[in-house]
Amino acid sequence: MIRLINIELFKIVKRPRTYIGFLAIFLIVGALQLAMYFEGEELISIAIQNLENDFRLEGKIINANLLTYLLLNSIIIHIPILICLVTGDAIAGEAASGTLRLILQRPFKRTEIYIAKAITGFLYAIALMVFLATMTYGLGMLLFGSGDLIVLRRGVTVIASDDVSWRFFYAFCSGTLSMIVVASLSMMISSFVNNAIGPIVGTIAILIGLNIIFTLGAPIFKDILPYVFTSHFIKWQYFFDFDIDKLALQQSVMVQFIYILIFNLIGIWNFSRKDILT
Amino acid sequence: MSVILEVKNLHKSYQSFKAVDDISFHVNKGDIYGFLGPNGAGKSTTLRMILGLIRPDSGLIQLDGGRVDYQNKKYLNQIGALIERPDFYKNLSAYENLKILYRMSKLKDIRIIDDVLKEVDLLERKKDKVGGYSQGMKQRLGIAQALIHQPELIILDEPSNGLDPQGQADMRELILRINKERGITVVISSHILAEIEKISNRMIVINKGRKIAEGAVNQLMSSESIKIQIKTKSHAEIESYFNTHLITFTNENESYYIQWEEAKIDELIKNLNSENISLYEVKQMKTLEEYFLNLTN
Repeated sequence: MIRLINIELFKIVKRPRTYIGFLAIFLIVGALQLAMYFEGEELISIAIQNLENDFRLEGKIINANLLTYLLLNSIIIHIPILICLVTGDAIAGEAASGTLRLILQRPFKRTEIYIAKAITGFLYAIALMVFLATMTYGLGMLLFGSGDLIVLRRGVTVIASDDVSWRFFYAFCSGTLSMIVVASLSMMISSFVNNAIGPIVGTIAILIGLNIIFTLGAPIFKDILPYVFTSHFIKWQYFFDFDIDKLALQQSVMVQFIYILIFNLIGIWNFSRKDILT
Repeated sequence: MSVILEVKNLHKSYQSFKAVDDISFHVNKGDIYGFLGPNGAGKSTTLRMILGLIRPDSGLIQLDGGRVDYQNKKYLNQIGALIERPDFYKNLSAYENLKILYRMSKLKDIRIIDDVLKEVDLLERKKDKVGGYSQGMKQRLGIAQALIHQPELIILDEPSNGLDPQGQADMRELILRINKERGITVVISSHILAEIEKISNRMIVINKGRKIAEGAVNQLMSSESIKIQIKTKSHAEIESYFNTHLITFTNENESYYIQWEEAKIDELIKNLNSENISLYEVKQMKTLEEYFLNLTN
């Protein structure tokens, strides 16, 4: 298995599209950080002008913690697109290019090949999230330094600067778990089709579709909402509450693990029995 | 001569379409075994089933006397294959492509990569990306990847596709060399009779998923082995006659084909008439080539 994972990693490292995600994060986060560096005071004062009517805000409001929180809020919803570019291509892309035929003629079980590809996809998702954390939190620290974090969620929460790091660590871990769900979903779709675009479009369509349905908040869907994986993609925000709802977070982790398991089992089942006609 | 590959009663259907219909054949060790049939005859499907890329509906495939187990892929250590197009990772060099397959074959001596690249005359271009290779170079690299794990049997599905006449001749020479010098058994498919005739010692002819003929190439190609094409509307009667007299036949487009001795054609016609089987055409097809051209046209 280690041999297969190494081979898959080698292929990913050599593939140009692997770097699109890193480049996109670098450009977007870099541009936003620079914008905040030069025009941050104005932008933030607009955002918190209501607060200033009731509170007196002192100190360094624009800091790495606030920027990381804001960037995570706006970017994490788009990371699935970048992940699908690689994980959606893992099987379908190889089927389309004919190389799947080449590797399936070697003495490895298809289940082993699928698992190796899935693990490599997970490692890619983790690498992308680590890079996102480095770009937001790391670059933010360089440009703005640390400071207390003001969170506008269920009211106003001010978190002391020395109490923030661990929250970000868990928030990124939670976000990474959600991205592994996305990677598993696109891998599963990838096992059903023979073109590289299908899994990318299919995964994004499912994510957008579910988001729209549940953002509308129709009562008919209210009861199943906790069991839909997309509703857990924003659970990382819970780590920035004054009283963290540990039970909700545990349930969220469990639901996402179950989805990872289900998506991969379906993918393995289909991949193991499909005829390779390309 | 011992049998390296045996296929018995292989079937594969896609809904109502029978892609492979009761194909049986065997390949002896040391053979260059031709797999001849027009496009869409079921050649690639059969070869893919041997490699486990497609699951048969029923039938038996044996390699070196052992039944092929699709769950345990270890039998693939004995087979190298080039199926249809020689597809590779275009962004990688020939060496990197072969290194991936070398590692997947759990080999121990990495010098084998250079060895097979030398065999197919690509050693000097090993660091070039495959995306920049010509069709002929890709085909030769396809042979190299089939050889890398030193298999006993290689399966080449239309290896001359897309090659110019010189490329085709080079490919034939390469296959003959691999067979003679390395002692590797070769199964080669083609829709071109001349290609199979030039290189193979035994062959099978298939059409519409069914076996038409099998045997030594020189025997099948000789004029002594005459194919007779019989056209009749008494389908049930003639099939009953063939079955009763143990005459192997195939049925294509209202015509029945049988193998028959030239001297006994008169006798056959008389017998069929006496059975009240009305014939409206009986045609001699002197060679397999004529027969095959009739099929493909």
